[in-house]
Amino acid sequence: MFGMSSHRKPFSVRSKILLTIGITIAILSVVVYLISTRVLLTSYKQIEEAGVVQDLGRAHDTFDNFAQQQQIKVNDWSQWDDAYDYAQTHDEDWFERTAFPAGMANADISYVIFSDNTDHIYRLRVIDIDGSVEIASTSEKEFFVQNHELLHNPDFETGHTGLVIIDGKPSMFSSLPIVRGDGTGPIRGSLSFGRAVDVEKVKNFAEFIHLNLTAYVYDDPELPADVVDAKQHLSTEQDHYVRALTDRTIVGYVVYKDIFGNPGLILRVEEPRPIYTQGLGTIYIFLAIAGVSLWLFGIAIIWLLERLVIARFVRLTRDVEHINRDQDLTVHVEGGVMDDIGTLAGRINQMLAWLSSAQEAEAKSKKEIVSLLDTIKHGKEEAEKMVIQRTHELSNEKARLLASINSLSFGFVIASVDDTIIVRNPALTAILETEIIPKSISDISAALKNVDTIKTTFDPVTLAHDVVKEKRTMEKSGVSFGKKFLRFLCAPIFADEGSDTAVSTEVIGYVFIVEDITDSKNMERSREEFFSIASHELRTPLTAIRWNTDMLLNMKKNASTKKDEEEMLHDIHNSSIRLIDIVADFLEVSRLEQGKVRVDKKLFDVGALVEKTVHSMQEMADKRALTLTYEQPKAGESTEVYADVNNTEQVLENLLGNALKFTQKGTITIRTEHNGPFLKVSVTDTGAGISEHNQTRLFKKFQQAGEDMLARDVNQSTGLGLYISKLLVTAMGGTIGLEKSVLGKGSTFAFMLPTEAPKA
Amino acid sequence: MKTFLAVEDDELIRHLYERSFRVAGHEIEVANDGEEALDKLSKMEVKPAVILLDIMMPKMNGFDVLQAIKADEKLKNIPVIMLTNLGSEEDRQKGLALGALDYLVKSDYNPGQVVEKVIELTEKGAPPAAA
Repeated sequence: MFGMSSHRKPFSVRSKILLTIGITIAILSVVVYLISTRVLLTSYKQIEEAGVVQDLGRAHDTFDNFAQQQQIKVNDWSQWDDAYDYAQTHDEDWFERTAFPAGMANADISYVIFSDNTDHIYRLRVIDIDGSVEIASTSEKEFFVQNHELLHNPDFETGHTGLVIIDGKPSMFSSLPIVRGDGTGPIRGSLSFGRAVDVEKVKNFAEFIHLNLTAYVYDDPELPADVVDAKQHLSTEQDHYVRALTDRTIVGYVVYKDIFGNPGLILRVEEPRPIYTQGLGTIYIFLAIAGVSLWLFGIAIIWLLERLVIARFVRLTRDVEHINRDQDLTVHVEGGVMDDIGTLAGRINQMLAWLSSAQEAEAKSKKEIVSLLDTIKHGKEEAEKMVIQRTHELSNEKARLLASINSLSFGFVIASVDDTIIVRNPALTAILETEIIPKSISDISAALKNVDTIKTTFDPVTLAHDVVKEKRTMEKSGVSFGKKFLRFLCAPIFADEGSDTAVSTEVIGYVFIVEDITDSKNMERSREEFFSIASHELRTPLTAIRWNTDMLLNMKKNASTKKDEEEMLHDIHNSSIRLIDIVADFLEVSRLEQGKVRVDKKLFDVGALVEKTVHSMQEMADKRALTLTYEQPKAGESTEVYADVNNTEQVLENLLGNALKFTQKGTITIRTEHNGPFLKVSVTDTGAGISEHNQTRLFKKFQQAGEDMLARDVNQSTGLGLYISKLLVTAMGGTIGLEKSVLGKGSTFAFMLPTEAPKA
Repeated sequence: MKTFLAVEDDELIRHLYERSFRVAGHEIEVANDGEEALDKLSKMEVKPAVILLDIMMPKMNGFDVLQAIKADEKLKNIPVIMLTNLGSEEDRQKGLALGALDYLVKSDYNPGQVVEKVIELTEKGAPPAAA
């Protein structure tokens, strides 16, 4: 509860308080600084700006006054009789006497223009006012020819006064009509004066009005940077613009329009900033005092907090930590005065007292628990012994049960309702031909799907689920699985609810049995084939007999030929022979299958029997142009066997008969040789040979080695010969089989018979 | 005069066909097995009016022969009668499904009836198209 343990040491309460006060003071300082600078300095600036705007007005007025002075000067000359005469006579002497350069400079005139009523300039003089000499400038004439309306004064009252910019140079211009001295007309053209507004002139103005004044031509492409900037504001906002250039300098700009009303000059007034500089100093002093006060206040607060709260709180924490660390409940914490912290300390002391008493009670009950545990331990040991004994008994029983399950020839599985296999025997994987051990019933499904070439819809999982659902045993037989046929049986396992109730209805799993029923399935199929073939075999000769006798009877009514009758009788005879043969074969098979074969075993020379059989079948071989030979054994080698003579002869006849029937050309060779306690008799032909697939069908009932049942050759035999031979040889204690066969080369059939009587 | 073809491996039965048809005044060609039958059919200038086909024969069984006939544009319109001693219903259905006109079990008829059936078929006129 008190132990604060964490990976990262958190800030202490003291640090948090210090941090909070520090941050508060810093924020206050910033606020004070911002307010004082923004508010005060802005108002200082506004006062300064008002002063500058006033001064700009004075500068502008100075230029207006200058224009008025120019007009007064022109007025003196234009109402003078001499000038009136000159306007008619154009007396050059008068002009030279009156408007000579030094005179013009003295009168503060830069150029003088006389023009007639058609605004034609007939006399123009331009001087350099500083050097008092005439200069050959054409720009003035060009300008006034172009702007001749400035020289046009048709009435007594008209006149033009204002600023003109000629070729980038500003001058103050004034023009009035020339009239008589008494102010009467008619008007004889106009007199115009101009005074260059050069640097010197502006300087004069500046001195006159006590301002740092400069003037710039508005359209001058080489204006200083600050004037260009001001021009932006002037053109967009208003006719004047003020801005602080530095902390110590403020500048104002005003436009002075030319005679056409377009911006002509920019007047610039630069002034120092005494108010602003002074104000800034005051603010800094104020800020310093405020900052120091704030920090002093902060320190005082911290000191008080430390004394009254933090130190006591830290001590209380330390005491509690001490209790926690030493597990010492006897310690009392110190709280000091009875404020909130003091009360907390009191409560903690109360709690400690309570805990201390609880601890004692706990120690007491612990003792009781220990003794109880002893009793339990003793009982547990007894129980364990019993469990071990029972487990041993159970494991013996389980081992017996597992051994039984493992020895079953069919696949056996116990699975839970979720299809997980709990018990399984080796026969399962053997039947399913898989090396993967199935973990659940769905693995068995997968194994089925992997091998099965014929699409089957059977799924063991579905069967199992049906069994669990319907709570009864279910079966699926004849499931095709590769070359095999399988039978699946599934029975539910019910939960055993003890001896009271017999069996519960709750299914907790199921037993799954997988049985290989290929043999019985094949047996069944073979039986079906037997009946099919047998009926066919019997029907054919019977048909021949029926049809032939039918025809014979009909022929009796009509004229019949001897030849037909003979042939029919021959066919009827052959049919009956075939029927007898078939019946005999069937009977023989039936007798042999029932074990009713007569075996009269004795020692006899099989070599002699072979010779006899070869001899008897020689005629048949000759008919088919085949060579039939017996390869005699080495001299002195016995060919005696211990078997039944008649049965052996039948087997020999069957093998030789087959060889003769199925060989088109070549040789049939019989050999005898010893093979351990047996004598082997082999019959080798040069026939067509038997394919690997068909080899598996040999020695089975009706199975001639044809591709399928429908391709039987009924002319040859019933197909029971090899089957009968096998039954006979087996009955005599021997074996028979196909030794080898190569397609297109021939086959070797052989049987082995014991050479002596078995020792009793 | 109409020609018939009997495909039959059993000599006894072959004799019966030849004799029965001859007695009824008809000529019949015989083939010993399926391969021979197809060979003969391909070589015959005038195709037979009816083919009598056995099922259980060496080399090529009757069903395969029937399939081969029905797959051949030139032969598929010749009516085929299965004449066999395989009596199961399954075989009968199979034969009819493959396009045989009729399926007769030999031992159920006498020669006169078989000949009558065949003649009756030819006289009915145009055989049904490969059904």
